[in-house]
Amino acid sequence: MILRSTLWTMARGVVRSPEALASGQIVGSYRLVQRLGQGGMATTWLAEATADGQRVVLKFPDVAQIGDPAMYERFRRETEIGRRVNHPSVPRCLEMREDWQRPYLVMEFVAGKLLSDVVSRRGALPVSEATHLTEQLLEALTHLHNHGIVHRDLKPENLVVSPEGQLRIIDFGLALLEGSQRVTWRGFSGLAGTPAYMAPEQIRGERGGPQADVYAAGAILYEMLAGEPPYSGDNPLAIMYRAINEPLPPIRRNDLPPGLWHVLQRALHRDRAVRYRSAEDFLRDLRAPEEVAAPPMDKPGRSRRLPFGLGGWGPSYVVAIVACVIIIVVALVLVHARG
Amino acid sequence: MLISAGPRGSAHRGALGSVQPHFEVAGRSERGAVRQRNDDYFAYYIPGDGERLAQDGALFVIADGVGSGPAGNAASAEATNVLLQEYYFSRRDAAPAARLRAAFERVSSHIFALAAENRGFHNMQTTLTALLVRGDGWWCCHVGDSKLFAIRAGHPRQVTRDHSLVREMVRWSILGQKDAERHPARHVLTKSLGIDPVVRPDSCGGRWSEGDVFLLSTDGLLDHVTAEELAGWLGMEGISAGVDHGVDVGNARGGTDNLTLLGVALRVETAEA
Repeated sequence: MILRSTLWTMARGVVRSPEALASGQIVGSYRLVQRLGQGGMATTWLAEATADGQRVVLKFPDVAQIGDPAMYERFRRETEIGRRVNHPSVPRCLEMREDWQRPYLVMEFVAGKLLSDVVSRRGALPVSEATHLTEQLLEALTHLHNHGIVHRDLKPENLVVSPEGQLRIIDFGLALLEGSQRVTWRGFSGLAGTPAYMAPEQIRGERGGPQADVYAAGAILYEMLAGEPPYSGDNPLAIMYRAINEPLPPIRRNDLPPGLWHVLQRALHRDRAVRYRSAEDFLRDLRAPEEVAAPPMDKPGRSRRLPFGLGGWGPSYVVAIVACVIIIVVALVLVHARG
Repeated sequence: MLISAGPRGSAHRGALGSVQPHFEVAGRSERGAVRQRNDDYFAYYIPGDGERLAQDGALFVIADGVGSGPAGNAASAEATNVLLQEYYFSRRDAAPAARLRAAFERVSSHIFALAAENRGFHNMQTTLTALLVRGDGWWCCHVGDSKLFAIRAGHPRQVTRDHSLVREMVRWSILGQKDAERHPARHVLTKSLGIDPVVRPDSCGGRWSEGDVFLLSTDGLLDHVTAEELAGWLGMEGISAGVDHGVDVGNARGGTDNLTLLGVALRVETAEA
């Protein structure tokens, strides 16, 4: 039995529930057409301007973010990025509107399919297609980095491929602007970034600079060539453990040029002194992989420990203990059998 | 005698006329120097009736809510108050640990339902840490990253295990302990009330000794002070002044999060002649 104390909580004031979104609904000067996606912090809708039918994308914060200053900061940052950047691979963020019950972003509509859907449906892509898409991504990153913008959350779900094969970056929610106030968010949704594409320094808690975007671009190229990310696992912790500690798995395909593998190794190198310093350097080698030599071997992460506290003993001790247990069990079975 | 301390607490002494724990309690909760709201909450109940105290024990609860607008504060207050109700109105023939765990699970369902049924509370969540003292035993139920410390002879020992992402990362050898203390995701939880309809808490217990002190704290304070410092102030200045000292230092060192501390000192009450 619960003695409902909700009357007490209601008396303290409740945020008025925002209206649910639906196709055909009018929001400001736009009509909602179709929901495009729902992320952890925002929902995106395809919409048409009521005046002239121009198609745009509206981005609404999650209900739980309303009133949170961090949400406004993120939206403001996306708007500023959209205004600052003029590149064919970066859709324009037209404006942030507050003429409805909650603020929302109005963004340029980008037709195409998510790269994640493309790889999911087709598996590994031809080498030429994968490198061409990556070249576009690196050109865009070079432009962004030159304007002081780091994305920090590049992943196939944030990339759209048009029917003509043009790649565009969407969603700058975690992008870092030089000089911008750091947005902190104490929530339950996990780390900033997505484990499969996070650079080791991001996993360890650093904010992530241009080399983090280089690493993510390398992971995306790897996935396009292999059909899966370089490190995978049943849960984010397993993925992070492998990314920190395990060697880069080779890609099993016969048509991978050796130089291209060296390019991948360098882009995904854990040591930032070895990893490409810039998207531009990565792009240069990607365009001439035959000239790229193998980088120094990538060592496992700082910790050579095995997970779950076994590391202090080392693998040889673990093997010895397991062997002892087996011997004891066998001995007991034999004694029991003789008895 | 129900003490619902909420955001401000006071020292309390419970004196009883038989062999019973003698409680000295002090609590304080503030929003800190940065946050706009205080989403922490604490409360406790020490039955005034000796027989009731002997059968049901005293319950001390702390919570740290998450959610936009008033949702975070609603979550922590609701979870704390409902836990107290659920425990003291539950069947008295069950063992204390089982009663506390069952009450915890009913609270988790309640918070989940509250979040689901009210769009204004969508995504609201809370930690919840509870200490039950009955006779010479103590029990703890816990979800989240608020903490219970047991202090004996001035040495603190964290009793609860943080349900936090960085703790899991340390356990997986992804992070070292030093990296974890500075990690930006150190406040990200892996378990809390509000996400799932049933959340099974961690539970543990033991026996207390004369002079033991229990300290319940939300994570915000421990960004600025250490458990050793808190144990030192409590030992030197007493419970009430020690709790005040801890929160004041937390504020002075930045107060970047809500700051909540609930201290419970235990002595054996000797029978009156």
